[in-house]
Amino acid sequence: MNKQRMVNQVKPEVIRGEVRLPNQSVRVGSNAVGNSGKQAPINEIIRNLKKAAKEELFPPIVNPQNG
Amino acid sequence: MDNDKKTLPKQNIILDSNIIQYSVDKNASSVFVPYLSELLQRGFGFAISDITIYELLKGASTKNETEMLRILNIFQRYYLTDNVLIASAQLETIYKIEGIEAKQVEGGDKFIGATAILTGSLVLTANSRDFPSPYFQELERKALVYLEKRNRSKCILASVLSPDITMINRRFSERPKK
Repeated sequence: MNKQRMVNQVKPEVIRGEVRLPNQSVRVGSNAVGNSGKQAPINEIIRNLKKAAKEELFPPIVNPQNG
Repeated sequence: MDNDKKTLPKQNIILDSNIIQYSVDKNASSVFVPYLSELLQRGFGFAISDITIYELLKGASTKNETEMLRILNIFQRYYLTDNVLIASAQLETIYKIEGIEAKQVEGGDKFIGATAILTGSLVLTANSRDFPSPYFQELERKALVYLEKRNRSKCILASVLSPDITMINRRFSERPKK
């Protein structure tokens, strides 16, 4: 039976550690993978998502649980 | 230590492609967007993997492609670097050690999982089976209920998952040498 579990709200934390790849060890952290830098502010993210939903820009969800 | 604290970046949650799909879906967005907003208010940042761009742009018209890229560009993006590709392949190897067949988890989800491992990020997904235990632990589950066409009620379980670095490292070291 798929037991519904309410989990306490998780809070942000910084996870650090080390993952070993074949020729090197990669330090876990936000700089371990190249990234595009800062993201948009909260309001802009929310506004853009709402706009995209309103305009139905993205195709309808066909296989919702995948992806 | 205080200095260290000041320079630490905020923890990102990598949004699985299905979360973006729900968040921009006409009906589902009514519950998904408020949940994303809540996570942002709680202090998390959001990021996507390059693979999500591929997954969401497939089959788009040129007009939609432009608009969708504008939407996706608001998120911090993690690149599909060599390290991510290597770690994704290794993830598949250690899945096999646990009896998780390669076809059970799609390639895209392995890229996202590997990116979360390497960046110390969490993953938000609408399908927690794509990030299997014991390598990913569910930290939070939220039942998101919305009305579809003809007022049919639909419930999607969104999960916040964390990679278990200790378990992953242990299995990495147990991989066959030959």
